[in-house]
Order: sequence, then C-alpha cells, then structure tokens
Amino acid sequence: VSPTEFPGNKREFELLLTRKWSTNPNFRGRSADYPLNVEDAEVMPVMFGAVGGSTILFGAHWMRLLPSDFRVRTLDGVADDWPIDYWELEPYYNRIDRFIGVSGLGGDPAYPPQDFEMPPHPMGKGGMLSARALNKLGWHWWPGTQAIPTANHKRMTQCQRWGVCETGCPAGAKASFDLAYWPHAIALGAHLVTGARVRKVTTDASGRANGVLWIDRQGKEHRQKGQAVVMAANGIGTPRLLLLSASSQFPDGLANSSGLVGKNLMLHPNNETIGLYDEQLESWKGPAGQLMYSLQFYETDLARGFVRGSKMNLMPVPGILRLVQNFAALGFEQRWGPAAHDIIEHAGRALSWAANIEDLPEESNCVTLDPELKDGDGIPAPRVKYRMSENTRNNLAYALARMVEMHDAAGARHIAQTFLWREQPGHLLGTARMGNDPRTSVVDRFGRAHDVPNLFIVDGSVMVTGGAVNPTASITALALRTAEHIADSARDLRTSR
Amino acid sequence: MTEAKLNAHEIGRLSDLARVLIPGTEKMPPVDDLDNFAELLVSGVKAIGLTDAELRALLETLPPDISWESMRAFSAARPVSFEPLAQLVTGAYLMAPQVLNGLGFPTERRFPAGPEEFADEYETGILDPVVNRGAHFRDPRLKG
Repeated sequence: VSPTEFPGNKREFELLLTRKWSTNPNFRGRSADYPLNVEDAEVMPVMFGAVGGSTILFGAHWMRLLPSDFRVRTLDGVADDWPIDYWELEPYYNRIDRFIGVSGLGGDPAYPPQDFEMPPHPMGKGGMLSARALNKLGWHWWPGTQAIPTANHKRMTQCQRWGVCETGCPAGAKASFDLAYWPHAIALGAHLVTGARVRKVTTDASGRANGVLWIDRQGKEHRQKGQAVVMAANGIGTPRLLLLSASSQFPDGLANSSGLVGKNLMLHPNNETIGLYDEQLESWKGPAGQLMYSLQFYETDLARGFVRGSKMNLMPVPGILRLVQNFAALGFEQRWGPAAHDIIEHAGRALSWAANIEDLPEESNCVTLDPELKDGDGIPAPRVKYRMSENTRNNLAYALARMVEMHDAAGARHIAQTFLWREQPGHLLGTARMGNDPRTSVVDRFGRAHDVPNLFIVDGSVMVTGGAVNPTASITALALRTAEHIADSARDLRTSR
Repeated sequence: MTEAKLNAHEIGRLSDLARVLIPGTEKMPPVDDLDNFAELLVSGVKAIGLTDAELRALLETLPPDISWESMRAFSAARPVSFEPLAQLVTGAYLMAPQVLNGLGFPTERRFPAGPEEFADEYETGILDPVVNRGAHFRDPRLKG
C-alpha cells in the first residue's frame, strides 16, 4: 500500500475509517485480507494484509517488556516463565532501536537503563497538562518511546505530527516494516512476492520443512522450495497455517505434538477514557503514537484484586467525529441539536488515556480452523475463541478508574469511559509459545519448532506471556535473535534432504 | 456491488437530518450556510463505501417527517439505522472548511517539531518528581 493511499491526510479521513480503512478485516473487503470468525471472541483482532503487515496500522508505541514479564510464574505464581530473560533480549532491543530510528528519552526509572539515539517527541500542551496531573498524584509517567523518527532517518521522514499514525502515516514517518525493513532486505537480495497467500508448509519424509505452497492473485498455485521456513504471519495467521499444514505425518497440524498450536491466545484487551478540557490543547498534533505512558499500575499488587497490570498511554484525539461517537452513551438531547456543538467545540481540547491490559495465557482462548468460513482462495479461515477471565475484567475495571482519576487531576470537564475497546488492539500473542520442554511449548528458545528442526517462528505467537506493553519491539528483537541463530547455525541446520 | 450515488431528493433528506442534528449556533454555521454541503455528503457516502443497496436501505428507514421529535424517536427505535446516518451527516459537516475554521481546527496538518521543543519541556523540571523516585522496576534476579 502506498502512503498516498492512506486516509489520514484526506478530508474524509474519519468516514474512511468506518469501512474501507476499518481495523476490522471482516469489514474492509480487501482481497489481501482473510476473514475471521469472531462469533465467540470478545475482542476483535486488528490485522492488515499488506507489505509491512499490521504495522501499517500500528501506533508505533515502542515498548520493551519489563524484566518481571519473563518470570511471571516465579514472581506471581501464574502462567509460565519464559526460557529467556530480559537481559538476553536486551542487546537485540538496542540494535533494533538504532536500526529503525526509535525516538525516546533514556533513564525511565521503571526500566533497567536504556537510551535512544533519536530524541523524544515533544509532549505538547496535552502532555504537559497530564504530566503535571500525574506528578500531583505521585504516579509514574514518561515521555513516549516510539518507532517514529524525530529527524529524517533512512527512508523515513521526520514526524509531521499528523496524529493519524494508526491508519498509516501519510508522511512516511512511521517505522512500519514496508519502510523500516523491506527496502533493506530487498537491497540485500531478498525477493518479495506481493499478493502471495501461503496455504501450506510442506515437509519431506523425514519430517523436515522443504517449502511452501502459495497462491497468486490469479489463483494459480506455486511451490517455493526452501532449506528453512520462517513464519511471520502473526499470532492468528501462524497457527492457522500450521493447522492447515497437517499431513499424514503431522495429523494434528505441523509442529503440534504438544497440542498447543493455536492455544493460549492473548489479545491485550484495551480500554479508554477520553477527557474534554476547557483549554486549547492542540490535540490535533501527533504523534499518536503516545505523548507519554505510565507504568504506575504495571506490576502485581494483590490488594487490587488481580494479578499483573496494565500500561497506560496518553494520546491526542485529532478526529472530531470520534468525539461525537465516543460520547454515544449520552442521551439524544445531550448529544444532538445545540448540544452537538458542546462536544464538537472540544476539537483540539480532547485527550485519550488508554490502557493495555495484560491478559494471561489460557488454553481455552484459541485459534482453530473454521469448518465453513473460507478466504478468497477457498482456504479455511481462522476461528477465534477469546473470553476474558475475571482477572482480566478486574484489571480492566481498575485501570479504567485510574485513568478517570488522571483526567480528573488534569481538570477534564467531561470524561467518556469505554470499559472494553472491542476493536483494539492488534496484539496477537501466545499461540505457538516458546519453551524448553517440547511437551509444553511449540518452539524452543530460538523460535525453532521442536518438531520440525528447520521451521522457525518470528511473530507474537512465540510469546509465553504478553506483558502489558505494546509487543512489537519484543517481537522484532526476538526475530532478530532468531535470524542470527539461523545464520550462526546454518552449517548445522538439519534441512530437507 | 454498485457504489452508492445520492440523488437530489436524498441529498435534501440528509440535509434535513443535518439541520436537526447539527443546527447552527452563534459561532458555528448551519448546513445551509455551507458552500457545498451536498458535495460533502456525496464525498461522505463514497468515503464510507456504502453500496447503492445499503444506502437505499438506510434512507428508507428515515421517517417521512424529519423533526427533532421524530429523530429522537427514530434514534431510540432504530439505532442501527440512525447511527450511520448521523455519522454521515456529521462527518460531512465536519469536512467543511467553514466549520473547521469556526472551531479553530487547522486544515494544514503538518507540524514538524522544532529541535528545542522537547528540551524546553524538559527544562521546566516536569520530570524531576519521576526521576527523583529512583529506579523501581522489579528485578527477578533479586528475588529471595
């Protein structure tokens, strides 16, 4: 997709989001997307089929997991520990940050030491107002870290602060992977085939991966041979493809001897509070992106009635129509007629605090193949089952109340609350988890399938727990680590004969 | 699937709806004062991506008499029809430059940050309370 097609700089911006640029692939009607059966899902996964994938729509909040996220079982007695720790991943985080031009301010005391080459974005009037409020409350906050450059960086331009990051940056100033990675990979010899839909990973008689079958946009099937297969199809697409790759050797799906392919789906439920303020905050200015984040409620405090926590982020609200929609709970008289202007006149004076909630892995939350629904090529679509636990609901309720306090402390005149943001976010995690034990995990500590030694997974599927931060920084760091492991061990790689 | 097109009668009906839902105020123009509201409605329909059949079906749900009372009843009885129509007319209204100007909302949206903007914020000491709290991440290596 060319940045010129993105909706954010068009006057019809907000109306374009209702369908053509909806985050929901079931509404968009693009041939590159595949449908999802979400009848039994409380949250609609966000995804986008294109070069660069769902990073086209990500907000580029570039957050590392915290050290505790890798030891949830040890520290909190729930879920599982990862086979690696924060410090094993830290050098990869650092290298990725430099490569894609992450902007941020080092020294956040909520993290082990970290620093960034690219300076942070200004927080603006809304950020400063909210920072003063959180200081008054004595709560943690920090200027936003984001994969949005504050100066020209490689193929990306300096952020123009359109504030429309989550619908594709029309300025080409966000590190979506069509810009941040693909041009570099192609320059190094990678061959990119657009419009290709893989329908199966094939294996030889010894059970090693030997290629994929894929379908072009004319419906013709092709075979791509390979000595290794690396999957990066997201936490729903990857288990879908592994299950589609069942064979007589792998009757329950490829790499699925543990029975865990597709299980433990985590989706990071989000909620939101929008505050309307009297003063002009210029909240049409991005990035969005995050003006700031708070990790005040990230770690477990059993007094709150749940384990684990949330990451909260402050975002501008550049859309005016969105304000009217977010106050839909008001009665007709409070929303329309002269009252409509009471809402509309807050254009530029609205701020959003949203929380990313850590949901724990549960085998009942899963991706399977739908027996009836098919994509445009007749391939079974994924069926997503996702129900929030009581722990997650308590976490949502607690976070919502705290975000209302944040707005109150900043002097918001009106606050709209959304307990669950059904069509957010695009964090699709846990469905091919990593681990040392093949009985309880799908891939090893390097993302290599336990059952298929030359099959690797480099997306959010491999995450054991999800933390509460936006996961792309971690997914990317894990991918780099896997890529280097493949390169380092290529001579010893057991490939198809 | 045919792309929806609005005829003059339908534009009139949607304009009636807009007059009820977003009347003018002292500061803000009514739809009748906008230079091109009909054209904005057409653009809005196209942007939403409604098919002709979908648009016709939605418009057919509108009561014949579009008034404050009838729209209040319509919104309560048929919210699934009311909301997209309200969204369309409001979205079209908010596209008008006169409306954006009235709100003080910029139509030119490029605001690259100057090199000193964050530094100026930082130098106010806004981060001091956070930094002074000291490191407080949970280090699993120290457990026990």
